[in-house]
Amino acid sequence: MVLRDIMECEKRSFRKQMKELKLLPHKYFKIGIFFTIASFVGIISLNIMGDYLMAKQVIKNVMLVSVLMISISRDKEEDEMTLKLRSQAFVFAFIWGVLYAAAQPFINIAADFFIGSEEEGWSQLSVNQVLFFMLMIQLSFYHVAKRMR
Amino acid sequence: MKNTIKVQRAILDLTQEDLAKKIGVSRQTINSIEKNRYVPSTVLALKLSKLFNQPVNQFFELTEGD
Repeated sequence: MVLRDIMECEKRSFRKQMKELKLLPHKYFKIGIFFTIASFVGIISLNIMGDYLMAKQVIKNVMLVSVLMISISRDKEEDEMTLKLRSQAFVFAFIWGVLYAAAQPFINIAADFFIGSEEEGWSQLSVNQVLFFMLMIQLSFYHVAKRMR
Repeated sequence: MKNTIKVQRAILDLTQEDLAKKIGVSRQTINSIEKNRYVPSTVLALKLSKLFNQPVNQFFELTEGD
């Protein structure tokens, strides 16, 4: 009986979560843009100044979270159509993200071969790189689809 | 799916913006529905039905591909 109650509670909570995509208020869009620009400037500055690996990694993570913030914050006019476009954009980004992660190492090897680069071997993408690519695809797809609706 | 929302809207003398405000969506969404680029949810269809005072199948109609 208790197990059934727990399962029922889990089901209800899951259904509630699935009902609609929960988004952040619109002000997070601007905050996200601010931190994305700030972290971009930060990365460029650190590249000029020298090797600060730890700081670079922290800034990269800040940039990733800022872009996510832009991606999941509400529009000024959010309705069921924009929610649908947003969901489609996430699906599209996920598919392209997987394809990108799968194809990029081969593209690098091919590029090394044609350029005649001495750096050979299998290069693996970083998690940040793949996630950033996916978020960029999501944002581009969503904003283009929204403009074309 | 095709619809006659534009006609119904004209009967009530509403602009896309007016209709959008009345049912709580954006003007672009109304435009997409009228141009058959977007099929609204049941909730939105019922809101339109209430506003037009007509059953949903009076202004939404299935086409051959549906």
